[in-house]
Amino acid sequence: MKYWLRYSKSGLMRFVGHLDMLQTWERILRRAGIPLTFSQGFSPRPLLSLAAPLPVGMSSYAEYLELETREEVPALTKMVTPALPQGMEVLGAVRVPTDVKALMGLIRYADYKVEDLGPEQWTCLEQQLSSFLDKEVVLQEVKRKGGASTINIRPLVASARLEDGALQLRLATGSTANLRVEDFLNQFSLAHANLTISRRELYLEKEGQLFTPFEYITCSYSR
Amino acid sequence: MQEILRLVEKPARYLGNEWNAVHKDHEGRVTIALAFPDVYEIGMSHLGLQILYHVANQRDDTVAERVYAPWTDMEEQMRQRNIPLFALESQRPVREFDLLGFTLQYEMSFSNIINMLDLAQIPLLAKDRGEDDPLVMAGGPCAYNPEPLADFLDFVVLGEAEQALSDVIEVYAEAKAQGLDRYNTLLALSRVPGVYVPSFYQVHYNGDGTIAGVEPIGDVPPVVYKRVLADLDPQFYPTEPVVPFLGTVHDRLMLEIFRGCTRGCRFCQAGMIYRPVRERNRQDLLALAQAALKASGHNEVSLMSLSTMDYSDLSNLLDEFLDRFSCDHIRLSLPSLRADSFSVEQAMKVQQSRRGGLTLAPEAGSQRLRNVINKQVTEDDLLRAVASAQAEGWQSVKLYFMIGLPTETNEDLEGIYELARKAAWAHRYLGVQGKPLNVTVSAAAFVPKAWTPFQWEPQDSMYLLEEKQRLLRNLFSRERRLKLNYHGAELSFLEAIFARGDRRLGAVLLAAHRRGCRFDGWSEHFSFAKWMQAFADAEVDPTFYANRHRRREEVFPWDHLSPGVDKEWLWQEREAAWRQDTTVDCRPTYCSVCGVCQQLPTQIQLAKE
Repeated sequence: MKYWLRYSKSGLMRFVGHLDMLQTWERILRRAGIPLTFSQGFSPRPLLSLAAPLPVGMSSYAEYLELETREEVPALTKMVTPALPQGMEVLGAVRVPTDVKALMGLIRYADYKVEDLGPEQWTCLEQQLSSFLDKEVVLQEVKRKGGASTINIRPLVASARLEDGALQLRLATGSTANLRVEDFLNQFSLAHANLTISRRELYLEKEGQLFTPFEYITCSYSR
Repeated sequence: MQEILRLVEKPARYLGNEWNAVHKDHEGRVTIALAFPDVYEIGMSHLGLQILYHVANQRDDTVAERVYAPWTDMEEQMRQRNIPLFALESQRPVREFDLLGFTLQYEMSFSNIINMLDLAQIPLLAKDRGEDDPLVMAGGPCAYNPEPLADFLDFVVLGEAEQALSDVIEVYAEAKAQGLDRYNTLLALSRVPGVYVPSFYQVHYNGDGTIAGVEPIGDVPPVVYKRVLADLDPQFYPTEPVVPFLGTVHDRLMLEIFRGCTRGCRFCQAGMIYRPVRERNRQDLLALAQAALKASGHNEVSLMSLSTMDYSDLSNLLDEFLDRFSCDHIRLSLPSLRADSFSVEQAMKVQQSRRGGLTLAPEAGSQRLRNVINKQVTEDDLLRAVASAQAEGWQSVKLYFMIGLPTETNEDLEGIYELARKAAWAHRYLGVQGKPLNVTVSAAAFVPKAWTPFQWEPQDSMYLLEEKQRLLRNLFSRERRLKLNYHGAELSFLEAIFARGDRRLGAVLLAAHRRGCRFDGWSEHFSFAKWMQAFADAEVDPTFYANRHRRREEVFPWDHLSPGVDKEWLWQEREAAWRQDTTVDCRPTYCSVCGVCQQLPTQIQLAKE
């Protein structure tokens, strides 16, 4: 049985690194008594994966965990909730047909909200954002594993707008194309130390349209 | 606070919201900060502090919180912003707590204790502390000679603290209720068995620098004996351990299967101070593991003890463990193996141990020297163990040795190389063909410790240790299958100084702190030059402590702090060592009358006889 579980990670939990989250999840699910499925081989591991890495220090209200269980767990959310540390909350779960590919490889975009912009930062963004969006090519140096490289970041920004006192971003995320919020903000010379950045949603793509992971399952398989 | 967490490496060290962390209101409770003077990943791997955290928090009248040495990047941020050292759970400054307890696991963490006091903005010297400062206490193995720290500690708890900590809390709470001042609170605490208040003892010195005597001031016991549990009551075991969010050194459930060791290796302080052996029974262990796994979500259990293979019901324990937990993919790990085929058989049951290679500790390279140190392993045992391990698919083996042991000669050192070579080809010993194993030898420099039969012995000079390392290096360079590891002699030299130091080293610790020493166990921070300057600043000769022959009748700085083992018995063991006579294991059927069971309310307890 395969499930996708949506959860939030905020407060002090923001400071738990991405790699440590898998171990944390294994412990949560063990405490909750979820009948996990394990990999074969000499040192079996539970079949767990996270949809997209989240930078340390960033809150998220749209983290997704993919897990496999030996049997159906109808009360998954209810079972997991009491085993969660403070700062994590399960926001929903869907049973996923087994022929759906691994979530990690399906993620295409993520929404971010950048808050606590100072008046000067706000003005700067108001002036520069539309000209940025009008361009087709914006070269920017970004940090990658192997060092820095210069890439065209414009196609990696699906939308960027100022709304409700915050900067709302939709950026390419995942294994095919990826832009970090930090790299986007560098384009506008925004010092992000004082900003509050959070991830709000992840998207998959199907026939040119974007769907949240849960929508993707509902629209593909409900009929 | 959260602002700083963005700026430091591994912020998950400082959160305090781990699963099973206890958050209690401080109001109306005795508040204890339990401090481990090293970084979080090491401190969280220590079972002892988890036990005390559990014992203290079981009491409704007490709140215990944890504190670890902030890593240097965190320290820098804290000092810049004038943030005092805080306890993790409440994030309140430790200087606001009633009691601040340090565990003394390792001499080279002493500089971190001083640095943590400084970060906490607590006066470093006990005599300078005021009524509003916490009482600074300490315990753990190095507490059997806490004298180098005597100036910094208000009191010390000797031995097993499961019950002693409760006694301390009760006396403290009573003193607080009565409005006793610091001095009178310490006086009341000094009546608790196992509690030692350094300031209530005056040390007198001879002209040659040795100690003439330690004089109790007022009505305090002339000798403080350790606290010891009659048995390992399951109620003291933390079945709800704090579960870290980031990988720690021992990132698994630590299950203590027994305390003490029957072996009596003459170099080993743990083997002396944790006497006698008290085993938990198998059913208790299974129940504790079950409860703690459920409450923590751990996926691995380590069967902890000083010598796990000596647990008298081991085979049954492992069988039942695997029976009960393998369906949930709970891994089992054995921290140390004995060099015999029984151990290899048991390790085979546990499967995964093959990943890391097999680790065995013959400790010395010749039978003669193994007799001297009373390490009762023969070459035959060792080679058979290695050969059967190889037959079972292990590809590499690690061998632990010590250099600089009393009576050691070059032949013993060459013996290390010979034994490693034989181990690589161990299968031939059984008449089997095949490829050799990779053998890694780790050669640690011997550090004589207080309360061992070798407490009278000088440590080899650094020069001699380095000569010996060179000799080994030359031998091992002949064969690429054999790898040799050793630590710098400098660190071992400092360990030897503090392990048998006295109160005059307090000035050295202060000077070292002023020169910026901390995290000395970390090679990137350890500076031998700074330490040598600190000795010069304090006008203390380090070789007096590390390299001096001590006479039989010398008064040691730790003679008044007893683990129950008689000094005379230790001397007899020392004499036996020089005669190369071995001493049999302590068992209900054989007793060498070391003094522990004779003097203290405890005795050997085996799970199965």
